[in-house]
Amino acid sequence: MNPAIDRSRYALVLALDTLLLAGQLHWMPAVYALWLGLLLLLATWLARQRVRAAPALIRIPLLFATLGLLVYSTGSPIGREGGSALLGGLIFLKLFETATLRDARVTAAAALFFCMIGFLFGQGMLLTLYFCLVALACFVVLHVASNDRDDASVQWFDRLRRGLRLSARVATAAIPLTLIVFVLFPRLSSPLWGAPWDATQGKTGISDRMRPGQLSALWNDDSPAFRVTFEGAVPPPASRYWRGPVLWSFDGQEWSRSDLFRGSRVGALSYPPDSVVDYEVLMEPSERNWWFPLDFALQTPEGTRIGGDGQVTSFRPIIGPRKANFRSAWRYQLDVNPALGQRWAALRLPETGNARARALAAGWRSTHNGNADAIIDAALQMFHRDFAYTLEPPPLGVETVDDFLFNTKAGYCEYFASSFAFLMRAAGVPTRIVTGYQGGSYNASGDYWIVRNSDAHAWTEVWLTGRGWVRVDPTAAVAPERINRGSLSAALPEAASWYSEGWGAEWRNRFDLIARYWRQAVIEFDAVRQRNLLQQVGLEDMSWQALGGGLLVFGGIGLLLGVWLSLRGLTPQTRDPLLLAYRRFGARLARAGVARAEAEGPITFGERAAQQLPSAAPAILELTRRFAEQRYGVSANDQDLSHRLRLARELRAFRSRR
Amino acid sequence: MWARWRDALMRYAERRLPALTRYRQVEALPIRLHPRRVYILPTRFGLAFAVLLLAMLIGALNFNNNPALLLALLVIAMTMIGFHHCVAQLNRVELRSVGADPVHAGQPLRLRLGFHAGAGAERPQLVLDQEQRATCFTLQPDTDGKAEILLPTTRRGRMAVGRFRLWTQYPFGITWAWSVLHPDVQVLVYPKPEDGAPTLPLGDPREQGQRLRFPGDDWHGLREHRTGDPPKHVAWKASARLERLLVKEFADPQSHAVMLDWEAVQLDKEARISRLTRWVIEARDRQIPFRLRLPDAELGPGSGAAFAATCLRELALLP
Repeated sequence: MNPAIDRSRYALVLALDTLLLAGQLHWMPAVYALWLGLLLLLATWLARQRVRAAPALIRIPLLFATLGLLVYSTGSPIGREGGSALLGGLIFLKLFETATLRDARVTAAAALFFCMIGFLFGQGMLLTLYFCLVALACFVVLHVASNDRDDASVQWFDRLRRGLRLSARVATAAIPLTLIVFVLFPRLSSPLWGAPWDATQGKTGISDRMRPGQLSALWNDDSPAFRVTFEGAVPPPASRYWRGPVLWSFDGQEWSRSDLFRGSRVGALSYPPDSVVDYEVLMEPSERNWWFPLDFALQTPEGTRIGGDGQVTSFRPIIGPRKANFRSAWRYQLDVNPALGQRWAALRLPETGNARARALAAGWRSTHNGNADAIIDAALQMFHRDFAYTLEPPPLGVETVDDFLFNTKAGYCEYFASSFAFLMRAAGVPTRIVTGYQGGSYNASGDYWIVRNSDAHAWTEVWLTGRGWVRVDPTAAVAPERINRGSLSAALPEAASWYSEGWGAEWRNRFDLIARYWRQAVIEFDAVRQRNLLQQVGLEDMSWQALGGGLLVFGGIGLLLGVWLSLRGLTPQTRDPLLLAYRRFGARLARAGVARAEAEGPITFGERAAQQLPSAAPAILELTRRFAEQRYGVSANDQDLSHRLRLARELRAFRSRR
Repeated sequence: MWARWRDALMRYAERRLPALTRYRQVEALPIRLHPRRVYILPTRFGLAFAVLLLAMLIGALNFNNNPALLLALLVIAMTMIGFHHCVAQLNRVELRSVGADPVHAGQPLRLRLGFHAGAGAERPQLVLDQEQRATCFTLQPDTDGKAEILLPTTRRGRMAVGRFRLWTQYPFGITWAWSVLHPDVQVLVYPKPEDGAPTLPLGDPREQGQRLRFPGDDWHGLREHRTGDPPKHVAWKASARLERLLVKEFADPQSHAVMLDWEAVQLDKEARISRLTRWVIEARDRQIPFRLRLPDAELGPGSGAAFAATCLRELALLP
């Protein structure tokens, strides 16, 4: 009833799990992925020892070890990452109790589901192609494991080849149907239930806290954060600051946002009209609520709001790619008369700690007599004179600001922004830290700008009497090229990868263009785009009846097409030139009025045709005789190929005159 | 319980809906399958698979995750095309011949079914079953394929081969396509030979006519070598020609062929048939000429396998 799995089929299940694991590496915590790899190796080793269903003595400890590592590496088995990792772990544990073909089929089905889970973490084109291939592999396993009663004489290799060929054929034939249904299938305008994770769990992109040393994780991350298409003139590189979370509170170690200004409105804002730009932002999913408009956003799209400190947040986390239109002014004056409490919040410091920095700031304050401009200048000059910009700074002690200012003197934007803000507050100049991105690189083939996570940046804003909040970027004092050239790799050759210049960059741009088309055509295809597309082909009426009817009709056509495509090779076919030529001969005679009956042999048919077409009778009889002789006669096995080919040529050349 | 309900339901369906079950009635050979008589249902695994696909579809739609939707739709489309492959496995399969070598009641009958699938690709994993017995076979294109299945036999006489189910789960084990074959073919089952019957009644030579006593002095003929035959009796020349061992047999004409008489056996009818069957077998195996007298027929005298087969057939078909 439920046959045991044999060695070769089990090897296929192992191979499927390997493919599956490779496809999930992009999100899985490294420790956990490593563990799953180890499970795979262990299962392989056990299978070599001819143990396919491991005893409970092995399975139970493995289960607990997997669960322990799961909690250790993802935090909890609930939520997106934990839940997905749990499913993956169960699939790999299943290897240890796969004893029958049914188990193999269950694994293949679960693997299909697990492929889909991978799309929760990334929706790229290559990933999609890869998972479609894994799905194909699942069908191969299904095919091979459904052969319960297949006779043992079939070699495993032939069986695999047969499964692979059939699955590939079916998959190819399924493409038209898939595409038709994809376009026509009714989309939900709003989800039935929420996302299986909350916004605070997100991993990529900028966080709402800042501690020197944190952003460096992003610099290794070359993935796009968002893409921007400008309408009209593009602001100069040194003004391309993309504003994200604004950090107000400092606890001695870490800067964080403050709830004080969450509900407040943007204060007085003035700007020259020639600095206004309109542009479209295409955000990659960040799982957070933050947009990064060009500093400073004047108009924000629907579904978002702008806070008192200029940060634009969306109401729902950005879990899929999202597109929005913004208007910004890249030169502006903000909050000349700040709201009550803003100045106070921008001056707050912890009671104690970083004494040397405090003393330095107090010294500046007294020297410059409280003149904010002069104090800022003193600090920037100090940075410019004594400090180095590096992406690999030495670690800091507990007193981060003192340690940085007086010992290590090397760091990147977070270090400079954090210590600068501390010094300013200590000297009585209201300061806040802004995080976001700076720069971006131009993709000429697609005419858009791409801002990568490696472009993450942190800078400060000081409040000056009569001028409001003014952006001061202390990093620029140390590494001006970082700001002016607009991208990290352009400024620091050590941060550049081989692929970010020359022909490598060109190809990368091209690929990014394809990725953008993929986004537009596939990932962003939603109810609205569907309606637009169908309206273009004249389907104004988008009632669900019309959509369902269209789906049935076109889906049916697609299905028939697929069935025809995939079964085509299974219907009779011949490649024998002689037989093909004879069929053509028969077709010619049929056109002349003598059709061959199904049960009629060639000789009877030839005689009948000769009677009805007396003018061509000698040729018909002669050709028929020779054909019968070649195909059925003693000489049918003869290797006289030239004779057969000549006969085939003559059969093809036959014309009957009525 | 469930089996009984199902059987009752099937009987009812057959009575009331001949169109639905028309193909379950006996049909003359050849039986050619076509799509209208091939049925398809999901397997149990297929049902679970459908639930999984539904979950994939709803999940992808809910999160508006289009790559996931593409994957789910691709898998669904592949599954749907798989249905057609499943049916195509059985489509145009032709049952051309049904035959069996007769056996005695109580022995399993090895039924040979000759199939033909026409041109195209090979059709692996066809399963032929009847009740609990099943056999799996592969049909090669344009070649006659044979499936053998063992049927139990209980009583002598003609036996209808009954209804077979030809089914397959190919290619993915998600669906199960089947068709019912009920060929109008009967096979012969010989009577069960009596165990521990008295030996062959060689009888009285005066009454029984010509009989031979083995071994004797006169040349009788050649026969197959049996273990225990003395080597000097082997007919080497003849054996060399035929490539099997033959021995020269000598016999004395002693009496007429053995008479196996229906009237002479005083038992009830089936037991009588059973004993005569045993004797016919014995006579055949010992190469003894015999005659068989039945209530309304008399066969023989004769000997050899063919004559014995005729006799067994007559015995099997006795009313």
